[in-house]
Amino acid sequence: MSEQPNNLLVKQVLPNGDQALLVRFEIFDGHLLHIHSLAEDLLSKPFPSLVNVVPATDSIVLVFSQIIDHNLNWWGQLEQRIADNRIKAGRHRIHSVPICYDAAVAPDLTAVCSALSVSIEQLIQIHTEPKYQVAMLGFLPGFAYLNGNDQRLVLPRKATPELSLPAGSVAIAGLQTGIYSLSSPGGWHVIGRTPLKLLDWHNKQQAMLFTPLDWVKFVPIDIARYHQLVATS
Amino acid sequence: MSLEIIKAGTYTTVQDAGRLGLAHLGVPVSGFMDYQAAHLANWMVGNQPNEAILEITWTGIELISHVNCAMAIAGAEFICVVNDKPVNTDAVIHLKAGDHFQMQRLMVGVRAYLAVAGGLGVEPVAGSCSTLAVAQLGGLDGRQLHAGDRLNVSANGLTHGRKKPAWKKIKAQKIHVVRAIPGPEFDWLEPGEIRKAFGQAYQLSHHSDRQGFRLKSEPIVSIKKSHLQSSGLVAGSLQVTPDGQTILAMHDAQTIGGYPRILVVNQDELHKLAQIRPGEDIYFFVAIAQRTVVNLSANFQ
Repeated sequence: MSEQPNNLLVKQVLPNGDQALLVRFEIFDGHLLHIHSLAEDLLSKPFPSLVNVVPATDSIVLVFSQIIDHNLNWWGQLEQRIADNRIKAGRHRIHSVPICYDAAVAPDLTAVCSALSVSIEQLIQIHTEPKYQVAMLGFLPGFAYLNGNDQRLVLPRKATPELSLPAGSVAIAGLQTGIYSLSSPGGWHVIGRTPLKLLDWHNKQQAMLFTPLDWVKFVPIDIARYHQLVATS
Repeated sequence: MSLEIIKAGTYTTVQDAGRLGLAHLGVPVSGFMDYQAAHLANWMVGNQPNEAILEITWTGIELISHVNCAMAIAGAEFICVVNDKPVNTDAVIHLKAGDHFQMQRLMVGVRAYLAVAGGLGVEPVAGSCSTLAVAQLGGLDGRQLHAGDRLNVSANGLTHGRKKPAWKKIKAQKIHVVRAIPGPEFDWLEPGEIRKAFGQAYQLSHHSDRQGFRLKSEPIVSIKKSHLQSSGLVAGSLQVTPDGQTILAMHDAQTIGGYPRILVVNQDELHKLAQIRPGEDIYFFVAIAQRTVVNLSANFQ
């Protein structure tokens, strides 16, 4: 297992309320790996009274269980942690995720195809081509933000979010694909559905199928296979 | 050996101090909206302060006890009866098997906390008993209480219990002042807009739940329209939406947000918000110094 230094550069440290800090970083090619590595380090060796660590695209929020002194040299402490951090590469899994691109389970499929001027077959081909990376889990428990959308599939979010999308919905917005872990309202365009369960609270070892930086490869299935997999899962 | 829910009220959930350490997986903290009231109710019946308890919102519950038990209510004040006779909610309420308990009219506040001596008999999920309904997590099957639900409370021989001190009772008030510090994006506003945002009154709208409170005020115009990268969201963040209105993130809010935050309420003041009613005025008392100091220290790097 190869190791590399953490190259994060702190850009900003701001109070995020009296018990939290927002740390923003300069971004560079592959920086997500460095953010998650630092977040993991902070979770495993927390500062005193640190209770939550929230990594996002270009930031980490540190949440404490009591009022923190914003005058302390947090910037320097974080730089020290970054300097001491070693990134262990190549331990992220690749998930093969079956996905059914069928209007019966993907309400926006037809509209998306016409908005992008592609046929359903082309859309399936373009969307299953890339290897996606789990950028973060959030919005809802287990909701997976996947980086890697093809430029031909870029659409803004819907102006008015849908009130309820079923769990397993696979949707696109901007340069990301999202998988809904739970039934919820949502503003992304649903182009397919997976029979996989992203979230299982009864699985005590690993409630969530993905962890950040895992890889996802979509495998198209037809509607019959989709129902078969739902029935057996 | 249980409490049988006859009427569950508008929104009643099991809550404790919340679920920490899972925000990096998208799991919000949840937990008591008014921790002071929850701690008080638990104290009255001799529980640990963070024992799981019922958070009862707007309308009271009705139950039949199939066990001898002791309970206490704090936070919002309801008129309560046992077997149709009024009971004093400033003291512990003792129920015998077969007793019928009913919370009737809401007098003050919004959220009441009902603690049962010995706890509710709810198993923690992912480290907490708190209900997160949007994720079907925790509490009773991950949802609000329904009529017919049973809570497996244990028989408890609590004989004395403690009385609620009069000064701890919440009082009806039309104006609420809540301390805060400037949010991470407060400088997205013009100075005039900052003055307005920090000085004006906000009113709670009816769209206010455990995820967030939509507030009404003079619209706030943000100047920097460039896209904000979403980042970790804490309860008490006042987020400005594109229409210039604001949403105050609460305990069940998503872990990551993308709206600019102009202020963040001090965490030990969040409990005050739990008892504010729509139409009442909220003023944020913003301590500017906090923000300046960190910016200076950052510049010295």
